[in-house]
Amino acid sequence: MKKIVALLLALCMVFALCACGETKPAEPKAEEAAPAEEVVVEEAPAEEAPAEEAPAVMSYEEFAAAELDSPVVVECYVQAHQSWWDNQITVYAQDPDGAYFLYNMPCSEEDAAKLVPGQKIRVTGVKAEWSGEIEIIDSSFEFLDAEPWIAEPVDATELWGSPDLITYQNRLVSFKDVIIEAYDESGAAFAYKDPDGKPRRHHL
Amino acid sequence: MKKLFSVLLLLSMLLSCLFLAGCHGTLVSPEELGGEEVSPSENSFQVPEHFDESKKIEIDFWAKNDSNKTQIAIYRSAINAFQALYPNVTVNLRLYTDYGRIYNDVITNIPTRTTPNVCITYPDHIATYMTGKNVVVSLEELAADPSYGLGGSELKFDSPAKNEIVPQFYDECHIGGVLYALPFMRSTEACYVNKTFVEKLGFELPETLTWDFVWEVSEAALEKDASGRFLVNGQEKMIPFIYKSTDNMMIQMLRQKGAGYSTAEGEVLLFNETTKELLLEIAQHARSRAFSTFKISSYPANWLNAGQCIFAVDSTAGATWIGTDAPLLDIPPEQLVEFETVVMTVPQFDPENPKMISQGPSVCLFYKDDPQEVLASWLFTQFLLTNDTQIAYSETEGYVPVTLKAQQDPVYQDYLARSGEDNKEHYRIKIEAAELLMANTANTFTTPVFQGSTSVRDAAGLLIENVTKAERRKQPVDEKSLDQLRTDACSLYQLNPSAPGWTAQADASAELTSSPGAGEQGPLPTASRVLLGTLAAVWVLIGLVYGYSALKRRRERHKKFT
Repeated sequence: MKKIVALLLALCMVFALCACGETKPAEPKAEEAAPAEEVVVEEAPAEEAPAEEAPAVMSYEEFAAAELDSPVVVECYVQAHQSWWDNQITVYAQDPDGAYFLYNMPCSEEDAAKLVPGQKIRVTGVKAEWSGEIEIIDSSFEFLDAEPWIAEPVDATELWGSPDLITYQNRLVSFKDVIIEAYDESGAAFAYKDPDGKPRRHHL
Repeated sequence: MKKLFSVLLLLSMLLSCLFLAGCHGTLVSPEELGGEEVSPSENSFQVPEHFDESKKIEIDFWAKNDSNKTQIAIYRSAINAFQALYPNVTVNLRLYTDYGRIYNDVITNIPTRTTPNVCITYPDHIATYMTGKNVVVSLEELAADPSYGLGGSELKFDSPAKNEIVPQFYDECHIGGVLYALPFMRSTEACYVNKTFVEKLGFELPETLTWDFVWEVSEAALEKDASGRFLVNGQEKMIPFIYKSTDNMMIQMLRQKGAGYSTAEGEVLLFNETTKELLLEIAQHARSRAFSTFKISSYPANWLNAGQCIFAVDSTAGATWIGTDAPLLDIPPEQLVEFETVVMTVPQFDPENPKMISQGPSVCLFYKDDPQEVLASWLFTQFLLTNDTQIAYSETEGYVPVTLKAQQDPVYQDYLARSGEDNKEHYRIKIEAAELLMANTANTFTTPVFQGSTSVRDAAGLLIENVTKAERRKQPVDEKSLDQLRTDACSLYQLNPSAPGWTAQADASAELTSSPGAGEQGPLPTASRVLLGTLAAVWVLIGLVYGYSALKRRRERHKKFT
């Protein structure tokens, strides 16, 4: 018993000396550095889903009617996505009734490779609006086993320049017989003000 | 009895092990970033005796612009002018629209030694770049060189001497007492106020905004009519107070309160009782919807210009987007509202002693095998501080030139004097924003820079973002949720605060005096006291066991002889 006690005392000292090592604040891993967006947008960890119980899966109509800042659960099909970066990905998704913008969804690089067009997913998050963009944020997702589905693009040519175009936000649309040209001799795509210095609406 | 004693001893030692294991912090080692931590002196650079102008040299310059074509043109103009003076040097420009991307790309390129030569950056980021030997060049030797240093004799352009750079801005570029960057532009935060609405609500703007005033007016602005429209603007939307950079918001509030944030040694003091009080206050105003942030609600400038915000806090470098007559506009023209804009300092707790953050880009150099390449990079970096570049770039936004030379130049003085002459180059709000910083340079501060300081800053912003979001989602913010928030922030950013929980208000003066040799270091953190106490207890136990054994042996020997 004495020998065991002595040995344990020595081990305690070893642990104590290890713990005496200088502790410095850690830098997050390189891939967890500031995100790709123009400003640092930090999302809460996936564990910070709304405290209340997540609602049942919603139809698009129910999602559209849901209040901002309320929890939502939707099932949708990936149509496209922005580049994966910093363990996040922004996805454009649709179901037959509407479209969803899944902003900065926490996602491993491995899973990002599986978010191919047509893949069905269930997304749990919070409905938000940012500068007019309706989105789902602070979300998590799971893959669903289903036949892939890709939306047919809606011809929105007639809505060009119309205030109704916004109703198609996040959807796959097409514009036909469009000529892309520079706004002025500088080659700019658009200008914030017209030659008289008056603010102008952005041009696509 | 003996066995019982032994069992008790064993239990107490096992408990000690738990304490000691908990003392360890988590750390991403510099090896994981591809380097080993080095002392500043190991990054010093031996300046060549002469710059070889017969040698063709190519340097890469990674720069950030504010989505502003004029800024891009200024970079190109500076490059062309520099190349005309040094035809053997070619500068390749790579443009970014945010610092985060530059940071990410530099980090990615460090292990493969494919960093740029010159890079626009923040000191916080430089601290992370310095994870390896010979990654970031120390500028001490270069700056002091009589031939090629600041104001050097062999330079082909009018470079500012050290005493011609604003001392505060120059000092901000030191890490561990060593110069690692030159300042490029400086800005601060300003509160852009819709004075028309403030007066409509029956208030009068004070000389210096206070937090109490801003909260009071913001809450008053939420009153609605019977149809649900806000009385102050007749619209359905109004967020009276929107803050762009919530990390700055928390940092400035803590500094104004004299509370802790972090130290130069990397001690995290953010999680203190003052922080908690501030979060609870902010939560109240988030609950009423008097307050929101850029990340939640979009650009404060857009809300302000649409008459849907009264206090919009943003950088002075965003002034060209602010106001009825702003040269740059991000909302449909039909949404623009006429109002009088006033540029003020960010809200203060003590208006007699205002404190605000100093921010803005700096320039650093990366080490290359060819010392001539490094020297060429240094020459170009200095060129960015010449008057033409400094004045031209500062005029694109509410920036301030970082050299006294440029600030006092008649061209710049004329620019300031023509404030309001037009709504483009001499846009009043932009010039007033720059003047705000020049008038308050002595009231600005920066936060300690160390490996991990970016994470602490991000955590500071996250605290405000999350309490605001929680209240909007009808999840009340209370002691319990704040404790969880603290845990989540520490986990997300791998922070190891000096003590568990929310500490009693840590003295902000610790940030200023805790550099080596600065004097009293303050009380030991709780974890250190526990560790030392446990060590002492273990030694006492060892002594007791040894003494008991010795006594026993003596008794046995005595028995033998008797």
